[in-house]
Amino acid sequence: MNRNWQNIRNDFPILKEKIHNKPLIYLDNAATTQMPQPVIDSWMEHYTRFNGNVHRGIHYLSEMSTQHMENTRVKVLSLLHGNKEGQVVFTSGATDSANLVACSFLRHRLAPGDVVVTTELEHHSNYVIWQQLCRECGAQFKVIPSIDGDIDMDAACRMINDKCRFLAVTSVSNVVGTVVDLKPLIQLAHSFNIPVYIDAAQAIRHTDLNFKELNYDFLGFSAHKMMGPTGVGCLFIRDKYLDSMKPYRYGGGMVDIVSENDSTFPALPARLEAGTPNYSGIIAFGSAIDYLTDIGLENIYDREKALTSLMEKLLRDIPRVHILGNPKHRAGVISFIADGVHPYDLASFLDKYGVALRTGSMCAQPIVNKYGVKTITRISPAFYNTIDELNSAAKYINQVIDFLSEQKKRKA
Amino acid sequence: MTMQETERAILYDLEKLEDEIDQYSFLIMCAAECAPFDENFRTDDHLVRECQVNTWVYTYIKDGILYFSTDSEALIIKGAMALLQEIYNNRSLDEVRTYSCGLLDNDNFTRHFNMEQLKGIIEIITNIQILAESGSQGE
Repeated sequence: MNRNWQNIRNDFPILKEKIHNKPLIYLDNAATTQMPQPVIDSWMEHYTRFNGNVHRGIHYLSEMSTQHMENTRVKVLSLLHGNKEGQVVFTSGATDSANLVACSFLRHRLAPGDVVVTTELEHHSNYVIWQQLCRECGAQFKVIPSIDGDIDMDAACRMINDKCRFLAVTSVSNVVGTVVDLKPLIQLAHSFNIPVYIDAAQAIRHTDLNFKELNYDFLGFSAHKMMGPTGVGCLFIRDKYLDSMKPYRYGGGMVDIVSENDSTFPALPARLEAGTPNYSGIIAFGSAIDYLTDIGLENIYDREKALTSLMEKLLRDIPRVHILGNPKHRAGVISFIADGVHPYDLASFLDKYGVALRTGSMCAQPIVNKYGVKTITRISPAFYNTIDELNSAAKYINQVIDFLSEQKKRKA
Repeated sequence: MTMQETERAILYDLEKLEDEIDQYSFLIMCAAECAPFDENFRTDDHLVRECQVNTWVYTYIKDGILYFSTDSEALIIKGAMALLQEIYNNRSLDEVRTYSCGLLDNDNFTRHFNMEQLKGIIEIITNIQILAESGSQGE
């Protein structure tokens, strides 16, 4: 690695901001990551020099925009090592990617009595979608339970069987931080010819999602969790299923011939990308991929793993703090509760110290409720965070918990 | 003290604390001043629906006087509710009808709450005003 982490941190202008007159300590990277200057610059450059609607014209600007957007598609395929094995469709984010699979693929394959399986660790976007689709189609929705943050593989083996038509599973839990061992799950599903969707929203910055290694069928993620802009996502679709993807949104850019009687549709990805895509965002996302690959994905995985482990250790040293789950492998995310302290009080008070973290159900009520609570506090470092920041955050957390506990006693 | 005087005293206390963290601590400490909430009213009917924090409010009129009791899971919200209680509880309907709450126009108060929480506080105040206008006995 040519650059040190402090030097890399300087690429992120927002990290120099003061919040409530305190230096920002941004630890909400599981919700969204910050954008480095080169990515901001590429977006600016696009609108300054190259903007023209894609796939619509033959003029220079349109061609440049199209080329730059399509370059991002190639970069995503390369990131996943899926160049010759599948296709990437641009979406508005991970949620949109899962909805696309539900509407374009699974809806046409489900019949009453079929089973769709997901896990207890899922974000609502990889849970409610399948649940509601099952209701619509008369299929059964089944959830693999978890044990202390890890998927119960015995239960998975019972639930993934010849009745199952689809498996949707996260790669990294957005609550517990569990790195799910995908390989055996995918192998098990494939032994019954069951297609597998991977929610990689959290995993994309933390683990290698090498298609050649994992052999998944669909994989969705968002650009804004990997230093890209919001409103851009990707869906990887394995070749085998490309022809099964039916158009589910209609409009410009996704038709071949239109007449009063009928319309015909082109091959993927155009068939699933109706209307003008968020091409400026997609182009900026391409720069984000370049930025991350320049640093080195392995370097980022290692750095974030070390920061997450340190944060976990610091939290364990704070009295009254209980960390949720104890998975075999944790990446990027630590959630906790503190005895007698409401997460909202804790996080809103920490905000006054410039510390940004997240509270609530994390859009993952099944797993949060499993721990007997409705709201939690979550810390999610990224590679640009420093050890000093984590120490400061831990110090403030300790201090605020002490203060809030004292006030609770006063009330009692 | 009148409602107006009570409001002025609260804002004066906040203004004295120039540091945001001190102001926030003050609001949290106010939670301890909230009168105990009758458990019979800790029901969905009295719940102010909000994503992260459950807050209960029970207001009623008896013999021309408005009563306001409240509780919240979060101390910061409970602190805000305690201040509203100080202003609104045990007041004549005439006084409530002519009072317009200025806490929500003051940055020293509002900056400690997010938009959703402020929406909830506005809803509570609006409901109190509607109840006072209607003047109906009971809840």
